[in-house]
Amino acid sequence: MATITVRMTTPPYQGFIAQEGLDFAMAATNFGHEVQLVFVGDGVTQLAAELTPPPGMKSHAKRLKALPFFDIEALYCCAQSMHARLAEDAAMAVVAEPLSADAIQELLNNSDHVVTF
Amino acid sequence: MQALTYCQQLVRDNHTIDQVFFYQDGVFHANAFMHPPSDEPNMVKQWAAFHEQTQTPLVVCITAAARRGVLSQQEAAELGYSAYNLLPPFSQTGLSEFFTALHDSDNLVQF
Repeated sequence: MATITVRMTTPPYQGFIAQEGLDFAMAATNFGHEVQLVFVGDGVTQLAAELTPPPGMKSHAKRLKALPFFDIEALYCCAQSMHARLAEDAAMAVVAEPLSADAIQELLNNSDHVVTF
Repeated sequence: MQALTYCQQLVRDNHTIDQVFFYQDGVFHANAFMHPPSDEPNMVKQWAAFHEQTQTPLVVCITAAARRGVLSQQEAAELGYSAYNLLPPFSQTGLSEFFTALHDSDNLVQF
């Protein structure tokens, strides 16, 4: 069993990157690995509450909210990226623990594998 | 190209590569219809040569590939397409097999 950190670095609907990142994360826990998610850079915009997804696309926010059903509860975000991209009082779809850059680096160092989307 | 160069170095250093897994846009490395200009590398052929030399499994995520129009002969037939572009030595799997194999691997390197 491995700890896999999945880094999300893109906005929710930029092609299929974010969607495939979640597919990957959910498949990992399905097959006996531990997964934690870290949202950095533009990836923090995935955490914001959305009104409606673009036509034809699966709601990314809904999938994030369903992560506990896939045994993924550890969600982290880059505090600096959050500050740069989202308003202080922005409504969030899910709660991710904000971490400093150093804390994120430590998280990555302590993971068995890191995969970036 | 970087991924292939890295793999070639690993082999020269006597490491074992359990598999090369193609995901997201990486599945295009398995698209037999790729036809770059003659002064650019043809990755499909380069990976095939690497497989020939090392027998390293070249595994393509079936969902990511289908989404991007990379289909095996079997899939194309099932879906009613007259052409297909995912050929041996590339093979297909789902994420399930990837994660099962990951349990026995020491290192995962992403490009």
